[in-house]
Amino acid sequence: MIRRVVPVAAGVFCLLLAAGFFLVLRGAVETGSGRDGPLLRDLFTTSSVDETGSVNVVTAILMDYRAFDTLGEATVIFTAVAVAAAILGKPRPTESQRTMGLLSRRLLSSVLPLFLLFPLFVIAHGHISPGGGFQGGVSLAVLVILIHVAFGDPFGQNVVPLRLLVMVEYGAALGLVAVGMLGIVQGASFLANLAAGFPSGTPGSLLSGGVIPVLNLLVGLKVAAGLSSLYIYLSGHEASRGDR
Amino acid sequence: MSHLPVLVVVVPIAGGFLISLVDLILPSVKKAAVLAVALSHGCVLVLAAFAALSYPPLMYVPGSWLPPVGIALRVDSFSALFLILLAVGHCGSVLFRLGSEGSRQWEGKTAALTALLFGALAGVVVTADLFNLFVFVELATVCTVGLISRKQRPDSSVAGFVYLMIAAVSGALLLFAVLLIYSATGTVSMSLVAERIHEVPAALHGVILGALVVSFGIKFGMVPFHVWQPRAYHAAGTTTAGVLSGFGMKVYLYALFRLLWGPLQAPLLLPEIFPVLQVLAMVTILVGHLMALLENNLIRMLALSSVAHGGYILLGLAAAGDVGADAAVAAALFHIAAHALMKSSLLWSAHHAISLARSSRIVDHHGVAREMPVVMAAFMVAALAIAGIPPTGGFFSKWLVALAQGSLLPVLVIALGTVISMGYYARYFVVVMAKRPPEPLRQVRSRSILSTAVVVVFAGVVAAAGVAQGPLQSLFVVMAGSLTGSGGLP
Amino acid sequence: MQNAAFVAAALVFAIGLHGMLTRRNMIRICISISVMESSLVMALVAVAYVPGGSAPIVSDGQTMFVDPLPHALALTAIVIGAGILAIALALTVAMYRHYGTTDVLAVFGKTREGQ
Repeated sequence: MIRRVVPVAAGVFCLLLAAGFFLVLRGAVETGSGRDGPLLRDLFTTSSVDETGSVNVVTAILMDYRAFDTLGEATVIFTAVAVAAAILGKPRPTESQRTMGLLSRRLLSSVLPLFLLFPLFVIAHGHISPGGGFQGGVSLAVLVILIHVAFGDPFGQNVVPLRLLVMVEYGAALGLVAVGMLGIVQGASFLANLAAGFPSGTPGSLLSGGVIPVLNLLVGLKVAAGLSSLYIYLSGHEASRGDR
Repeated sequence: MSHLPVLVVVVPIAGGFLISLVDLILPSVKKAAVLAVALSHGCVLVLAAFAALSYPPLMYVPGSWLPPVGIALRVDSFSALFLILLAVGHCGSVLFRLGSEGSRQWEGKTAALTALLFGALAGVVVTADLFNLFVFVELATVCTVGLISRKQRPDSSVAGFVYLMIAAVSGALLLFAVLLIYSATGTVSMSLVAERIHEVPAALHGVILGALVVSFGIKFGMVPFHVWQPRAYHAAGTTTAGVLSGFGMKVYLYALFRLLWGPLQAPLLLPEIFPVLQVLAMVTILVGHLMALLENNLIRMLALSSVAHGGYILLGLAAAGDVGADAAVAAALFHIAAHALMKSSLLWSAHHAISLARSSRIVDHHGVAREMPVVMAAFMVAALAIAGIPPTGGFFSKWLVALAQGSLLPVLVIALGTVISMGYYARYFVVVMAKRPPEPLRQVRSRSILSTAVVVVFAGVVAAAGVAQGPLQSLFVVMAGSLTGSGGLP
Repeated sequence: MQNAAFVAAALVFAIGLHGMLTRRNMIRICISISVMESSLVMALVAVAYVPGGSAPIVSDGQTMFVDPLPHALALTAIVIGAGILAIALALTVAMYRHYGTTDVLAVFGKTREGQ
């Protein structure tokens, strides 16, 4: 009896909360649309090209206007990897050779170079087209994970050793802080871009936007190394009952 | 130096990265690196705090972008107290760990996670942007989970999982509140939200406020969201529990103060919330103390006492609902500072007792005081202070919180809480002062002077704070004035 | 249009919360948390909607854009959610290694026996 009632009661409760969620959100948006005065979105879209040199306004916000948030979120990924390592300990690759079939492996080995190009493109063009460091970094991590899944953990460890990933992650994290400090050294403020005198270039071209491409590259490397080492930590354990 | 507000965040974060790197390539200098990071963070924090104690608050805009497009950081004399507490906590915990643990405990991620946690907490203190606050609160959550479950024991994973689940709900509520504020006011900068919040209908304002109170209530252990705390502190161990309870919890209370008085303008626009908070605070005090009385494990007992003391601080906050009630905020600040020192001193001296008895169960601590009189004397002084015996600082902070109350019931709750807490600390003293240990204790490992000194100094400062309570109180009133906007003038 | 997105976000939120309250398998709880956080991301994107606006990448002839700030906030929230999900899964793996089960009630039962 009680086993049947609990999920139903929870369902009703959740639906009521969802109705509240909707009504509150609706009310907030109506309050906001009734407000007069300049809108924040117009401030961003009219001046971001001149102020940051980046055509992609979302990237301009992430890597310039609110770059301090980005430092915080990059630190969250860094910490998550450190915590996973602290919880699970050193990964022990499984002895059993679990690989995909020959056909998949042959196919993948010819497609993989293309898989490498796509994330690099997304990272490099983060300031002029949709994309950026995070998106490209995640795709790059998928590449490493794919190598592990298709060719087995020992092969993956040989191609991209965990130590290399960890060093890349630490290096990129320190690089982010160093780029921020460069703004202070230039006489402006932490994580300053054009205000610190970095060249803006021609908006819309590959080399534009001051330090935004550099930050995109560092964040991309950091996210790629962080997420792929997370995969290695999580998968590097034969979670069998005999392990207790 | 004008960059201090951002340095208090960047120095420990860069330090956390650096400690991880040193751990990987040059482990022999790790201790020196950890100490250097803690001391430099402490210096930056203290410098920023003293710069902020002069009247115009320090403002900083990373990237030179003013709000609304950029993020602003703000340090005023109200945040100065918390910056000083974080400096004491970071340096104190690192010095204590240097003195108390063998070289084996220096392996692993604890040092890096501690530095990152203090960076995140400093970020919560200095930020004047709601979304930036969310980012640093989540960073602090991730660090806390790591510190809770780093020991790779079964119960530590469970404690970490419980905390993570409840913290995920807290984070979702915080993000939801930020989303509502942004869609209703068109900005996430705290000062601009404060100017526009009066346009928001009262019902919506109430929902936002409720979401934020529950979100931070989960983090500082308000009843009924306190269930994670005893389990987590027990799994984290005494050193880390001292950091989380003494300093982490205070920063979440700071965020609640800051949000209610700053962007939400609760005393002006929604004073109805304060009686509700008062009831929650009284329930928190009673439930925390009663559960501590029933507990037979020292760390869990101290954790539940932290729950109760979060309630005292909340009671001070609730009494400050009248506009310009600086005395109540000052009382809450006094209790925040006193509890930070008392609870970390208690937990860290308990560390010695637990490593001596090889158990955290109270019954196993028979005769511990005879083996380590200095540490146990410090424990006793801190316990007298936390129970509220005059003339310690703990007595005056509780007394001021009681004086700020407008009605009799909260005062009775405070008095009852004091009696209960005297009960459970007295029970522990009876055990540790017992004549003969029932079985031979472990061979005493050499405790360094450093870790004993940290505990003794913390307990001594709290005891001495009672003597200097007059000037301290006027300092806290000035700090409270910079929160409520009265400038500390009577 | 915006209302439909809000309704969808609210329903996804309800599904995530329901899963979190009623599931016993820890991996499913982790998935439920992730679903719940996605609902907030959906709401952020819906808040950014402007009728007739295009993606906020400035090019010639475009004058109407959707609000870029919630998009940036959504990206940050997604990454933070991913970090939390990774830790939750790592803890699940650690508990499975110790207790041999992913049933959350069974794990709690075993920790009580241990005390």
